[in-house]
Amino acid sequence: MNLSTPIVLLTVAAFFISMAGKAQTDSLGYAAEYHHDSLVEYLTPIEYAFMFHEETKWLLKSNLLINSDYGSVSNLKLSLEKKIVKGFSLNAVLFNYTGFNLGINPFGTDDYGIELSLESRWYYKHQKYIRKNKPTANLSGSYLALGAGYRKAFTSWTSATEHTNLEFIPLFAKWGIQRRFLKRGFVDVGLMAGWNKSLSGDSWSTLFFNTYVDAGLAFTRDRQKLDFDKLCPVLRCHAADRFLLKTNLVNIINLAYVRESMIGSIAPNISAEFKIGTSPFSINTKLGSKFQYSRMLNHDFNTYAMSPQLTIEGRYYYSLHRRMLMGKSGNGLSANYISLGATYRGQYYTHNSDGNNYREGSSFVGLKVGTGIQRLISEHLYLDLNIGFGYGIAYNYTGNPRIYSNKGKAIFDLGFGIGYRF
Amino acid sequence: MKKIINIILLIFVLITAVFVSAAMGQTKVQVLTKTLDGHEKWTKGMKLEINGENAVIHCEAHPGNSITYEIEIIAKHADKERAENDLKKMKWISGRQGKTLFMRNYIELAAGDARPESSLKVIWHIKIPESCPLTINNYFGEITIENTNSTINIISEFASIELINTKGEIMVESKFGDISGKLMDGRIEIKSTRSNIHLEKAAGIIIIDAMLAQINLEDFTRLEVLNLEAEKSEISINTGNKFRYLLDLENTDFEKPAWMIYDPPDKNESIRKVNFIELPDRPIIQIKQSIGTLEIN
Repeated sequence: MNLSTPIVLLTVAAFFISMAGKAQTDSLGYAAEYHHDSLVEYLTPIEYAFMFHEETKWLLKSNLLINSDYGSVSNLKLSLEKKIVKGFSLNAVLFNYTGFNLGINPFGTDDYGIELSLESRWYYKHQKYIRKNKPTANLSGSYLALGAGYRKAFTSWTSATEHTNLEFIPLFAKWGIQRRFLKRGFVDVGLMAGWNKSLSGDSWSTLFFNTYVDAGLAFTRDRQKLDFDKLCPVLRCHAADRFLLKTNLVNIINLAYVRESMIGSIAPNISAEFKIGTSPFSINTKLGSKFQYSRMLNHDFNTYAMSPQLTIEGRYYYSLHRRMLMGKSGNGLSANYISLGATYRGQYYTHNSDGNNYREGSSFVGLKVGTGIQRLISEHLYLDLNIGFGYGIAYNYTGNPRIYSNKGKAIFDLGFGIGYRF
Repeated sequence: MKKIINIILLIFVLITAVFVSAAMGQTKVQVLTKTLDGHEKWTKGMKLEINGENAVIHCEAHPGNSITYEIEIIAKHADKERAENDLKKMKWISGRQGKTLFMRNYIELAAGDARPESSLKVIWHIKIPESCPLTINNYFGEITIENTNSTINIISEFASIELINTKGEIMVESKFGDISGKLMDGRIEIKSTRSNIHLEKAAGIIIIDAMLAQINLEDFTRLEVLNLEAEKSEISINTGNKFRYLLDLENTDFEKPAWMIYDPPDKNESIRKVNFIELPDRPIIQIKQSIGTLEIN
């Protein structure tokens, strides 16, 4: 009898142990994809997409961040960044800016100018990267910069035919984060503060503080060919997204202090895109508005501005099937497209001066055709570069009593969206 | 006596428990297979590109002017419903882009979809005209190509590669997948990382760049040149005294054959450069190896 208890216990134990061993069935395991032994293998897919594996000694950057949605502003910026010693680089910038007047802006101003600057950058996380065995010489990282330049600006007030030639020596400090993206892309965002010393007269000298976003093409000599299969988790080559809810983060917040004036703006926006079944067609809607406040500190003058926009368009992703076949995408919404839709946009101003209000505004309603490139990146990011032309009716009102007018108008849109997907 | 009976009883019970539980522990695996087949007309200049995942790809030449395919998508899981759902996630698509016919299998996940739990595999049986250029990208699986006479381009990881009676310009890039070839002829370029290489009766121009590999080359027929660059590898060449040899060895144990007599003799240095020209009109075998072993027979 003494033996029967352990026999039962042993039997039960043996039964469970053998059950556990035999009950395993085949299954498809998804181990982490990067367990190799070269430099690349220690990087996450997103770090690989940020080109952390490439030692980048120089980078030629062309900023494509051209935004004409609200402010009708176009910028072209060329930069050459060269690593000088560990953690430090020099960045030379040639910058052209143009504020096109497309007729929507009731002030009717055209501004353009050119700036040449040189800044030294300190990638201050250099040592931390070394401790973590991450590559450090790829010009991707957080940095502090000091720089100086020369700016020549030209302004025309078309309504008053007044022209101004101005020359400045800008001195500035920056904090920013720069990332290379894939072989030919880059993003650089941050804060900038400085002093524009005017050579045309002290009254034009000014302090400034603003946010900035640069994004575009980057060129350098890379040693390794990019392995797109390693980028699959980033480029979502297996994903079949049917619905996107997204917000463009480019220029979502702008703060500036220029010539004793405070200017602040916020541009919340939301887009929803629905894929029609498994077809390459989708419906994209975009709703947004830019709210801007400016105040002159030495005068009792401030302006509130609101620029709402609503766009509804159908998109045809003409390169989706090709990308699927080549293994670059699933049956989702990550491809090149053409679009046709309707758009409304407005600009409404309220000026307050010495207790008096003055209102004016304009709006545009019309049809728009366009083409663009949309890429979904990782779980929550997207990129949308597009160009479009439209025609419709522009309504204007101004003055007190109000004077209304309307006329046919063509519009031209360049959009660069980098944003968040919910 | 009673004690002995108890011990026998204990052993009997234990053995019974093990066998019974083993029988009960077997799980019935549901195997679901979906088969697709078809063909595409082939015209001269048209290429085939295959992008596979978890794919076993068998490709061979046939006399017709068409590309025929039979695709089996297999899902295995104990739960039939799960296997069915996972089978739907494995997609197979094809389409022409210009002069290239693309075929791809992949796991497609919609937002919120769980990754498949079933064991998924896709077996491709492809027949192509002999001169149809072929590109294959495959991750996890196998690739077998037979009887072709065209350009072959293979990029694979974790996939074994077998090439039988293939002629033409052949480029293979493999990581973690062994490469074996029989009766290959043409310009053969192999780049391997942690992939063993076994070539038998190969001919033409052979260029091998290998890291961490066992390389076994046997019985060349009509070799024009062999250029082998290896790192941390074990190389074995079984050819007899039919070629010129140019060796550049660093930290390599070299077991030379008796017929290979060269001047100056070895001095057990870590770096050895050997120029063996007994048959000056014969093709050249050039080997550069850093760390490893080399055996020539």
